[in-house]
Amino acid sequence: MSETAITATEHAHEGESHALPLHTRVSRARAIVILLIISDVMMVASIMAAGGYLNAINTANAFKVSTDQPAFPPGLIVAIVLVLSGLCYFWWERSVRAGGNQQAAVVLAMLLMLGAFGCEIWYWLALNYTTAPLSAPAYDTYQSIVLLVTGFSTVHLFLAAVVGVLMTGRSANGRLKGQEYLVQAAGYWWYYTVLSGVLIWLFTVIL
Amino acid sequence: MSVAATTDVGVHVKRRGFFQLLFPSVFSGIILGVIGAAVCGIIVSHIVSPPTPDVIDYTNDSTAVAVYAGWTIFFFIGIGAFNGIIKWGFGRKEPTLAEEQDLAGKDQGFWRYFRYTTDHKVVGMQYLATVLFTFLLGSLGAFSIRLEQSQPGALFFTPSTYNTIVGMHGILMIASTIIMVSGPFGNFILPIMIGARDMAFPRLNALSYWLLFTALPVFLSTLFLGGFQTGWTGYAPLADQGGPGQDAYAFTIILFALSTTIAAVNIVTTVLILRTKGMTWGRLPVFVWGVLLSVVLGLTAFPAFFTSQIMVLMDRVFQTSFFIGTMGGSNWVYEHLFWFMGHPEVYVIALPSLAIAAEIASVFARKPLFGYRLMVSGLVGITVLSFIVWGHHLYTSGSEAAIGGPFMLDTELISIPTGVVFLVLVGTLWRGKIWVTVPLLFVVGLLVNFVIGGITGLYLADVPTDEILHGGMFVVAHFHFTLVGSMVFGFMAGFYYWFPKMVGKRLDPFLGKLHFWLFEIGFVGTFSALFYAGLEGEARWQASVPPEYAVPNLIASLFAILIAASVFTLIYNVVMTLVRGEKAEANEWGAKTLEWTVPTPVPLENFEELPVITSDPYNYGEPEAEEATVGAAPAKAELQTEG
Repeated sequence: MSETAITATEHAHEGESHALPLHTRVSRARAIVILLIISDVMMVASIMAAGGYLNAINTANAFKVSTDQPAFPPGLIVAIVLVLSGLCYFWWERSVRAGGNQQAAVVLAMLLMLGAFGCEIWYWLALNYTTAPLSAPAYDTYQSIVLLVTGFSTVHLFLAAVVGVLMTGRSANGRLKGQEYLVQAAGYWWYYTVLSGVLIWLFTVIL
Repeated sequence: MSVAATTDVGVHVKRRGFFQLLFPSVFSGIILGVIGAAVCGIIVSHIVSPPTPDVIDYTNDSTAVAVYAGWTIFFFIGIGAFNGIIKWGFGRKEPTLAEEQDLAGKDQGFWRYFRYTTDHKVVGMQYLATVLFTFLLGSLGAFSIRLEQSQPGALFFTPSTYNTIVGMHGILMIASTIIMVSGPFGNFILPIMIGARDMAFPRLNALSYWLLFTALPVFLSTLFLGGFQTGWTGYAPLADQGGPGQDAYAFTIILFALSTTIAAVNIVTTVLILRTKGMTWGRLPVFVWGVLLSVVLGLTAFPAFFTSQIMVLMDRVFQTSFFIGTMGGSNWVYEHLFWFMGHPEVYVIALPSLAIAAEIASVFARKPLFGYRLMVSGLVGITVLSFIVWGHHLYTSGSEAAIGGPFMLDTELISIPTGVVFLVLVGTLWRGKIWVTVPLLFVVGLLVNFVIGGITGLYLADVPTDEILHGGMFVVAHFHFTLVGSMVFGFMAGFYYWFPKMVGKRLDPFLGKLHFWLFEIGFVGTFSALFYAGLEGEARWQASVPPEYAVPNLIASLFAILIAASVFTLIYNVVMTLVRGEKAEANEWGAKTLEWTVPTPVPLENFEELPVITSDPYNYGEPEAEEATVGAAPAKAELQTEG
C-alpha cells in the first residue's frame, strides 16, 4: 500500500472513530473494566485467603501480638474519605447521564481520592511498626499482612487518582461529549476502588 | 526529513527521517531504561537504605528491586508508552485515522517491529520471535542439564550452578509455553479469525508485549547475581534466603503476570465484542475457544502467583515474615498460592494447543470437526475443573492429609473432559482423507505423547502412588510428556500451519518432516528413559547422577542429541525460508477459517469489507460449502446502520 493510497475501508472510517460503532465502543469499555476488576478481585481474594490461612494456623503461636493492631481512627478516616469520593463520582456520573456535566463533582472526587491516597500513607506511618531492624525478620506475620494490604490499597488509590486526573482532563477539554460511556466505565473502577479499600481495611481490623 | 503528503480525503501521512524513527522506539526505551535503572539503583543504595553497620544489610535486595523498577518505568517512558495515555486525558482532539495508522506501523517497514506498534499482526510477530528466542535459551539449559547428567559425578557445573540452570530452564520454558500460542497466534491470527480489524485495545496489546520484553533482561540478570537455587517454583522460605538473583526471579514473575493479565483482558474483550456479523458462539473456530478459555483461566489464576512474589519481595526487602515459621508465617501459604496458579497454568498451556490440534485435524482430514459442541464442552470442563485440583501438588508437603481425598477425586475427574477432547481429535482424523503435512505430523505426535503424559498423570493424581513417585524422575518425565510432547508439539503444529500466513513464505516441508521425526524420536527416547529411572527410584533435584541410574541417564542424554539436532533443523529451515523461501499462497492449505480468506501479506486493516459468516468453518465435504461459510459483504449502509 503506498503512502498516499487510501482504501475504501479508510474512507468508511473517516469521522467514525475508526470504524467501531458506538455500541461496540460502549461494550468494549465496560468489558475491559469488568475484566480488570475480576482479575483484581482474585488478587484481593488471594491476599485475604493468605491472611486468613495464616491467622487460622497461627504457626508457633506467633501470628500476632496485642500491640500489632493498627490504630482505628486513621483507617476510619481513609474509609470515610473514600466513600465521599465515591459519592462525588456518582454525583458526576448522574449529571453526565442526565446530559449535563458537573465538572466540580469530578474535580472533587479526584481531590478526595488524592486525599485518601495521602491518608493511606499517613495510616502507614501511623502503624509505628519497627523500621530499623537489628535482626531479620523485623515484622511478625500480622504486621506483614497489614503492610501488604496497606501497600496494595495505596497502589489502588493511586491508580484511581490517575483515572480521576485523566477523566478531569477529558472533561475540561470537552472530550466526553458523545462518549459518556467512559464516565460510566471509569465509574466501575472508581466504585470498586472504594469498596475494596473499605473491605481491605475492615479485613485488617477483624483479623 | 519529514514530508507530509495529503491524500484525496485530507489525511496527513508523515514520512520519517532516521532520528525520528529512533525516538521513540526500543532504542530510546533501552537507553532511558538503563539510565533510569542506574539512577534508581544509586539513589536506593546510597540514600534510602540505612548505611549504619548495626542494622541488617538488605541493601542488595532493595537496590536490585529499585534497579528493576527503574528499568521498567523508564523503558516505557522511552518507548513512548505513556504518550497515548497523556493524549487520551489531556489532548484537545481524538487521534485521527492517520495518527492511528501511524501508531499501527503503516509504511514503517521492518522498523515497526522495534517500536510501540499497535497493529495486532506486528505484536503477534514480536511474540513469535520472542517465544522462539526464549525456547532456544530454554533448550540450551535443557542440553546443559542432559550433558551434566550423562554420567555420574559432577562433570561441568557446581551443584549451585546446576540448580540455577535447572531453575532458569524450568521457569523460562514454563513462561514460554504459557504465551507460545496466545501470544503469537492469539494476536496475529485470532482477530482475523473472528472477522475483526484489530484487537479491542491495540495500545494495551503493545503494552502486553513490551512488558514481556522488559522482563527478559531482568530475568537474565540473575546470571550475574548468583542465580537462584529454588528451582522454577521459587519455593519460600528458601526464596527468602537466596541472593539477589532471587529478586530477579520474583520481579520477572511480577512483570510476566502483568503482561499476561493485560493480554488476557484484551483477548477476552476482543472475542466478546469484536466478532463479525454471523460469528455466533456456535460458529466460533475451536482455536478461538481454546485461546479464550486459556486466557480466562490465566486471568483468574495468575493473580495468586503475583501475590506470592510480592510477598517474597517484601520478605526480602522489608523483612516481613509471610513464610517464616518462627514469626507466625508458613511455607504452605506459598505452596497454595503458587499451585493455585501452577496447576491451572498447565491447562492455560494445554487448551490452545489442543484447540490448534483440532483446527489442523479438521483441515488435513478434510472432514468436519467430530463433535464441535463436544470439543467446546471438553475445553470448558477442563477450565472449570482445573481450578480445584491444585492441592494434589501438596500431597507430600506435610499439610493436612484429609484434603488428599477430595483433591485426588477432582484431579481424576479432569481426565473425563480431557478424554472427550482426545476423542474429538481422533474422531476427526478417523476415516478422513488424510493429507500428511508437517502440521498434521505434529498433531499425530501430540496425540501419541499426550496418551503417555495423560496416563502417567493418573499415577501422580492418586495419593498412594504419588507418595512413592512424587520426588522422583517419574514426575519429570510425566510433565515433559505433557508440556513438551503434547503442548509444544501443538504449538509446532500451529507454527508450521500459520507460518505461511504470518510470514508470507513457505517452510521447506522436507526439513519440517525431518524436524518432526528427530524431535519425536529424540523426545520419546529421552523421557522414556527417565520414566524408567524414576520407576527405579532415582530422585529428581540431584546435581550428580547416582551410579545405579547411570544407564538410563546416559540413554536419555544420547536421545537428547536428536532433540538438539531437531532444534537446529528448525532454525536452519526458518532462516533459509526467510532468506530465499518460496512465496506462500493466500490460502496455503485450502482451509475455511477467515484468516485464509485475506491476502498474504495481510493488509493493515485485515478486511476490505467486514465478512458475514453464514455457517461453521468445518463444513468440508458439504456441497457449496465454500460459498456458505462466508457470505457476501454487507453494503456500507448496512455497516453504518449497525453503528
